[in-house]
Amino acid sequence: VTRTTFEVLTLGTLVVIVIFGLIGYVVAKPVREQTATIELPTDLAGAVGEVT
Amino acid sequence: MTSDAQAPTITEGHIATGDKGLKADALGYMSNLVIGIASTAPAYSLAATLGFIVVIHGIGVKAPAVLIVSFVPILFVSLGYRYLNKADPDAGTTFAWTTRAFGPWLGWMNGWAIFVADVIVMASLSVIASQYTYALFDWKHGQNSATWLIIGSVVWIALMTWICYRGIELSAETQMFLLSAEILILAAFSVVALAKVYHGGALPGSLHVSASWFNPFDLSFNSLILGVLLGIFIYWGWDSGVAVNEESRDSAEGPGKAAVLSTILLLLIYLVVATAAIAYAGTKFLGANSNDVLNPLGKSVFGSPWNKLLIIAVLTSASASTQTTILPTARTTLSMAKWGAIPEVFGRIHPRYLTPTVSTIGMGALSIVWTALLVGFDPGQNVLSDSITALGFAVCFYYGFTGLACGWYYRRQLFKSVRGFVLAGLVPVLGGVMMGFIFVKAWIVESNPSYNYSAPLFGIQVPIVIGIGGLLLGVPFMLIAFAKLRPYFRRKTEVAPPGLI
Repeated sequence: VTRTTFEVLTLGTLVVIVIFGLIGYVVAKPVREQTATIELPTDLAGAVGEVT
Repeated sequence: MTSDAQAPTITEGHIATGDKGLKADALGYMSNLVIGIASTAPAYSLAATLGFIVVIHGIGVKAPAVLIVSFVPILFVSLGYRYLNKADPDAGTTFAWTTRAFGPWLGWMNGWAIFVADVIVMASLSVIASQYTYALFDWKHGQNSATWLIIGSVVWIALMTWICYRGIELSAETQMFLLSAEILILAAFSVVALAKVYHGGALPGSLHVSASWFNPFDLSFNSLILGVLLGIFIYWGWDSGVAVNEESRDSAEGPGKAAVLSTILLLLIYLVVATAAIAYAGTKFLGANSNDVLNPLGKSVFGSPWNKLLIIAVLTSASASTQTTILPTARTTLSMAKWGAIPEVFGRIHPRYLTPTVSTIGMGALSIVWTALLVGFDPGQNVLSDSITALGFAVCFYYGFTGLACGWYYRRQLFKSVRGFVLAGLVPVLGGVMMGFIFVKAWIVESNPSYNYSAPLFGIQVPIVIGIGGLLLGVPFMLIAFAKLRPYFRRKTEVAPPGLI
């Protein structure tokens, strides 16, 4: 492998990783912003009792 | 010892040797690449790891994304190998480079870490090679008998040790054959599996490939880290191609470039095969067969008798890796002996084959003892399974220090060009820091009994006993070496000679 080919491969892979990361970060934003509401049992002492 | 970019060549009769007596110019660039890829055992690594990544809560079909993230620190550290090898193509690789950059104590411990990681993994590789040999002939008794597994493992280790002893060319030719078979079978598997996904014939849980499978940014951080802890070690081994640098043509350039390229090729192999497997079978099937996903997949994708192809792929993979694990260990201890860090008996070279004699046979013998003890005392193979997790500590240790050593060794040249700063400084050091983070995270995760197979020893989890204990075991040996071999421990640190980046 010539030096040019090697440099293109290496730097190309690094650039692809960075671009891929940026696109992925933007595309996944809606998923990251999703939140789930989990209701806690009102009677915590009772809930613990049930588990044990 | 030399800090020149090219190892000196001494002609003895008609055969040229390097300064350690290894056969110079015996391997080409392709052999470096083949040894690097074969040493990671792609088929075996995927068979044993993919299912466990898929079952991590929140990952599932996004296993390819985990494989991409796991690749990043590996690529970064491989650039460290490339630049350190350019400055010093020494068969001791990390041992020699960390000795130059950080001094003899850290250098010695890094040599020990390579040795520990390689010895630990030999048991697993040889047992897998043994199990799949029996599976090829449908011999169920052999696959489940501790005695027959030990016998099979001893035969495989002895055979591969003999090949390594017999000469580097024979080793490289064997690797070329084994890896070609492995890659061809994995390619055939991927093509047939994906064809069945889109044209009918795939399993009921099959899925069409989606771009989101490759995006790690919608995974929770904890799930991603747990996946990376598994994913990172399926790349381990590519550095074996650098350990044969003194036997390679263009020793300062070829092996280092091959190391970087082999990591990129591994990423492609893993992405293609993992995607095909998930698309063909879905996550439930892979999770249910997480101990070995390829064997059951082969039965479904190829049908009988062609399902044997995937057994052959894993068999060639494990046997090739058994051999390529002996190669770098023998060369590391050879180099340590030539540097005066361990007794000079480990530096002996065969006068005709020009391979390390005591180091190669010693590695084979030690592997046999380790495997026999591990399987003999624990036929259920729980400790063997934990030993695979354990070797991650040694791998992170010496990969991490290699990345850091690159930036430190080149520190006086880093600010002379942007390219040099990024490729020989920033990127390898980042890789080293990532490896350090993974080391600590793995320690925390492995401290939880639910992640391990065996009962704890003295209240400590078995992967930590083997992994961290194995590293610490080096300290008393290093102190003995310090008492006996003072000149090595009086070495001063060095910086890279100018003009290399």
